[in-house]
Amino acid sequence: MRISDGDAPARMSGGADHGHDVLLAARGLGRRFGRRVALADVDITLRRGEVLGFLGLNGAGKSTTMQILAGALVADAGRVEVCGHDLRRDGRAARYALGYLPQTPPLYDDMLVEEYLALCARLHGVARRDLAGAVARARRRCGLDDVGGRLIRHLSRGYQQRVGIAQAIIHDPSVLILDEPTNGLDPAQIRDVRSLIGELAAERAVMVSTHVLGEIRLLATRIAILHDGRIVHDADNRGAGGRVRVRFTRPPAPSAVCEVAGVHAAEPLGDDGFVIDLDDDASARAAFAASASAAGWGLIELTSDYDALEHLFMRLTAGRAA
Amino acid sequence: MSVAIGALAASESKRLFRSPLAWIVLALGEGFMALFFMLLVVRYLENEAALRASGVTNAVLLPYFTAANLGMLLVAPLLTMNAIAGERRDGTLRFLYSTPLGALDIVGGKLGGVLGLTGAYVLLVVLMPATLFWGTPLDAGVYATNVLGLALFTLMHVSLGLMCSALTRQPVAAALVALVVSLALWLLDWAVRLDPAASHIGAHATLARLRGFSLGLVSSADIAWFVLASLLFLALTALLVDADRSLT
Repeated sequence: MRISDGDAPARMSGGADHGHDVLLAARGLGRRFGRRVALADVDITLRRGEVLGFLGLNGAGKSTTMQILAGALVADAGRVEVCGHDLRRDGRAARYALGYLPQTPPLYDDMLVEEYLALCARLHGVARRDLAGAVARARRRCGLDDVGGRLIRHLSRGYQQRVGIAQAIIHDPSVLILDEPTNGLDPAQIRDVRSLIGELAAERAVMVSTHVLGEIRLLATRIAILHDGRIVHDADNRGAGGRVRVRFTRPPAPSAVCEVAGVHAAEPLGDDGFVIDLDDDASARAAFAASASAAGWGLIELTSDYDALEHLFMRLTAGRAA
Repeated sequence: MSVAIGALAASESKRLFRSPLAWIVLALGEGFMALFFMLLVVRYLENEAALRASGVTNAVLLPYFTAANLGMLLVAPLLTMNAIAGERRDGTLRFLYSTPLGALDIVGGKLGGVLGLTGAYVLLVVLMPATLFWGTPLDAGVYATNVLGLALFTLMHVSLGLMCSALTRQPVAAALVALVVSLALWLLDWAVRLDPAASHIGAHATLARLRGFSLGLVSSADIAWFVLASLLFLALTALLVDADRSLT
């Protein structure tokens, strides 16, 4: 997929509302399917410029949550506000500001790509005079320039996924909710989608779910983990940059490690190492290395803890009820 | 919002025109009506002396429009069955829920789309007997009331078909339910024949409501009955769509 910087998107209905920093706020969301509780007391806040990585095991309730936030499903409890509009009482205004890609792209496979995108734009209130520009921009952004005149059913899985992403962004929404947007894409396309999401997030709020933790680590500014219908983690994504693994020839006591400037926490790792939570910048690492050397601990390894998110995820989602 | 409803209706109509099933239904429907029309005309020509008393209007036009209405009992369920059930099965209905369209907008768009195709079908059906205006003393008033009756009958059955389509995610099941309900409404008239005391039930038979139109009578009660029945089915469709947003 070729991502073009493109021209600045024209503001249309539902365009980014610069008057609010919090673009989406959900409080106390609950949802049951029969006797099964799918969601309980879920709070989610999305701010402008933020990419929220939404993680959870299969069946945890991610898609249900995203459907509710997108207005495609009604919650049994709680409320959702999008750009200040209550999704239930003022649903129409709220939905203008939302772009949603469900887990399975919602495509009419007997339509041409161009026709389908034009329909999506019209349904989201794009004015007739802006229609051609909106379709062209979405096609360019999602690398669909060469397939605009093709029937959707004749496209590969990857291209269909791109059409799904294009329909979600065609009306330039303030809030984007993308349920597994990289499903079916090859590694190059995944990289391009990541870059597109980063670009889109500059003036919007984006929520992305995926099972690929590496993707979230690179993309998200904040990570929320859902387990058995409840949010069990919601914090800034500083695991990749701030968490490091260190090993020493003469390992000190954990309390001594914690006393080093810039270290927030240290947990032992084997006999000679620690996983430490450090300030998220290179100078903090250099300062730590200098301190360890000065203390004579014999620093022999200092690496990013790439497994931190995976460990966190596995720990929080362990003991899942069937 | 009317722009979005129009866009949905136009897209629905275009997609229906691309569907092989719709073309098959239309071709079979028009083919059957053309054959029936030809048989009625041939029968009239062969027995002109005997049928002259009743006239071409009674001998050809009335049975033709009765057959056209009966044909609509089959055509409407087949053309509406996918409208909502198919979208629910394919997961695209949930996409429509995430757009600013409300339940009534979705139903309006679907209705407009299906009426685009059924309108084309009805137009061809009513044009066929209009050829009798050349060369026969066809009663223009009776022709017009029969056209009006068929149009109202079509509107009601498309609305009923949409309601049945909103009940399920299986288009074939939706078509079968619509067909059974349509036939039941048609045959309610028989209740009166079986028991004259059941006239209040028979008054709601579509066959009874069409009788005036076929004879050249325009009754505001009959028009109101078809319009109200259509509105009732459309309102129930909107309620089912709205409930689906909460239930699924």
